[in-house]
Amino acid sequence: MVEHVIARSLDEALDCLNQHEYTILSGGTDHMVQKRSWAGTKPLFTKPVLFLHQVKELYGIKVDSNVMEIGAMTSMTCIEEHPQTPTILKECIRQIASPGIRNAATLAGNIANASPAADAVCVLIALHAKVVISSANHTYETFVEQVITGPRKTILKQNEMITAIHIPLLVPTFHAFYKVGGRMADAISKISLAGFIYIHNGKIAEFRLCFGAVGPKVIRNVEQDFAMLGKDIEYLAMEMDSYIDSYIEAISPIDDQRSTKEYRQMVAKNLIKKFILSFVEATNG
Amino acid sequence: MNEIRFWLNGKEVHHPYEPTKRLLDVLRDHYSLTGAKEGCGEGECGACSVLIDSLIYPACITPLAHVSNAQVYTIEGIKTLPSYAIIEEAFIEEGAVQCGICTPGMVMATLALLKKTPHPTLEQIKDGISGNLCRCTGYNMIVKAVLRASLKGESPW
Repeated sequence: MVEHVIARSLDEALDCLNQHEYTILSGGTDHMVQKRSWAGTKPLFTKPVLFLHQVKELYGIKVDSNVMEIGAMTSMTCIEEHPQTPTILKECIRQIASPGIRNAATLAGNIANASPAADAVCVLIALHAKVVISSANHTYETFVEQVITGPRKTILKQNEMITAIHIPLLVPTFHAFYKVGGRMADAISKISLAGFIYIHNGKIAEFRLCFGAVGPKVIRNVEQDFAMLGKDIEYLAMEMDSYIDSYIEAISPIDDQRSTKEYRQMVAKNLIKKFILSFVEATNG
Repeated sequence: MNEIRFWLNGKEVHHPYEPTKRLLDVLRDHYSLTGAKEGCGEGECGACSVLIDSLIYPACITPLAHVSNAQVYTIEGIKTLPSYAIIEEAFIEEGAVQCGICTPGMVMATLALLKKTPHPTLEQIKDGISGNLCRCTGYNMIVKAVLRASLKGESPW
């Protein structure tokens, strides 16, 4: 049996991944719960664990030509406290779990974990964020929505890991993050919505809505969003109901312990409505 | 590598290499520090809260690997600090302790909050203890106690 490894450098971590299959632990806030066993016994990891906690290269935030680069091990607390972090991401992080969890949890872990109810993933997709994926042999970049393929499924290969996240710092004309949960803190979303609108010369230049917990993964209805581009604000207000109807067709919520399909469908409609009406009101006011 | 080194309540310790083991079990079973409790075991209730490099973490979902080279403080380790005395007094004065199982975690959350934000608003207090569940007090007394501690304490948190 291959032993658990506390990697001391990125090279060491990537070398390990190149040789064996590991469970990569970032903050561990989900894995340690999923694999938990009885008190006093070790969690039941089926693969050896690769700990990235001591890999200094994976920490920190840099801003360069309007792109924020966030090291994979940077905690949600550090991201929330950084002055240049987009407001929508700050608002989202403040609603995730509790201070103790946010001290441990990372955005990279949130993406790789690929939970359909991941709040931060919703916002990252709405922000057009990209992920830097590295292995011992190569490094490439791809959009967050392309990394996640299904519930708990990603494109990450056995020898690859997320090393950083790139967020373009385009300031939206209007944004919102709505989370519906059982209570304010420590609640997994029943449904969440991240919305991002950018107006250029009076026309919609970017329109991005992203839903959590209404399908097998965090989803964005790109076709519907693209249909909004080039339109003006009055058009958006006028077409709101038909937009909502066609949007709702694209989502597939389920019944689970947190909510029901019907509730999620209804709330999804209401959240889009709230988002568009708040935007129209903010622009007219 | 055959051990994990960290500082526990100020003392250097070398623990056998069990990186996936939960910090909570190591504290309670190996070092007999039973102030941190297991409530939910999933990082939601905060009864196991400890400070790692001055930040609050739930010890029940912290693998031992994550404290490698770090400073870990439990409620037992902060008891001698002047800031603890202030928090204790404030909790007593506001009646913030009933059954007591959440109290060590609440005290750790209070200390973590005041270290970062010495003069918190009510909202900041509520966020600061949002990871700690209490089934007795209804929270109001605890919120008042944290506020009282912040007003009393000019000590370096």
